[in-house]
Amino acid sequence: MTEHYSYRSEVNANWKLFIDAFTEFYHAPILHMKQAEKEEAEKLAKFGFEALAYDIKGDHSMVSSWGGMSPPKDINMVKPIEQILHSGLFGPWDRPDIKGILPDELPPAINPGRHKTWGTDSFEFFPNFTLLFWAPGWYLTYNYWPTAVDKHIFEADLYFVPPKNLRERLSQELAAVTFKEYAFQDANTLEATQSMINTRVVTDFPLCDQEILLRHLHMTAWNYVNAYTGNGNGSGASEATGEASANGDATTTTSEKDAAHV
Amino acid sequence: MSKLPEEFSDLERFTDWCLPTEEERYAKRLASTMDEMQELYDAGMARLEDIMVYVDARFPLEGMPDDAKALVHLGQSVVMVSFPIEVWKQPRVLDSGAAYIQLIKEPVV
Repeated sequence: MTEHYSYRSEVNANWKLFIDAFTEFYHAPILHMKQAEKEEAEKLAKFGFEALAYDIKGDHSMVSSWGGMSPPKDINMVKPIEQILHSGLFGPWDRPDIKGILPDELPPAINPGRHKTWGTDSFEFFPNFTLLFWAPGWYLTYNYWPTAVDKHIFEADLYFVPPKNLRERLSQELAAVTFKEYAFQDANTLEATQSMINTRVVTDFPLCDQEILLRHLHMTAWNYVNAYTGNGNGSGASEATGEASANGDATTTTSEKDAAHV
Repeated sequence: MSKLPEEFSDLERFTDWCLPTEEERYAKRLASTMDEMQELYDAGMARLEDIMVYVDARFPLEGMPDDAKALVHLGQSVVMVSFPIEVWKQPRVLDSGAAYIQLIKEPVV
């Protein structure tokens, strides 16, 4: 998959806020409501959202999600441009003609629940790398590079199988254009969140049952910081890893230090 | 002198949208009015299928003549304006505040 689109953004938010926003998918039917036609979007918003599977391995984690828009059940569910180009937020609808990407050919780590409605898996490699696989046969990566406590550089890279003709090329074009449109919305919510955090009015953030990866990220980061400050020389990484348990309770992190500036 | 293949002379009035890179297309989108983009959208959407059929019947993606390439770039601009027209109803992404994301590497036809 060598057809490559690369994006970069300087985001006025702590690096972990961006990971928070991407490691759950329940935001999509609400924040990106306009991805679907109005009637369908309203149906999706009412339906609610629950991911298909989660896993945690050491400092790292993954979440598996459904994504039923590639192709949609009914062509009228999607926008006119998507109807012509057979593509959208979930990528080109037509799988590339290569081995290994059909549902029953995928390796066991992808779509671990083997759900028929599977759409995407997001693997979070602590601290700052994400690998995201999409059912129609493409993937993307995210890198987060902190530049200040409230700033980071966000990099995203999309990879497709090289298109054989213009039809496939424009299908990928729409997926890439769509990615950028929604990344703008994602980035803006983070900057708003950071502005709110900077006021220090709110310092406790309840996390819901679906936010397993967020809990794990903050607990892991907290363990590394504690290990560093605990022995004063920054050599506490392995110690921190050893302390990690399967599911951290994020609320415990707010008691001694300012969680907003970990 | 026409820039597009003869079969697409009806789109000749939009050739200032024949821009090879996403950066140029995005900048033109932000600098355009909704009426201008609506005109391109209406005319371009009606011919998008024809553009794909025309190019794919004649040329590979690498090494097509300049007029076909200009046609592809116009098709890419139709994709670009589809969001302001179909979704946001404004040139900028809705609810994007001061956020800005830049495409820094892309396959250029």
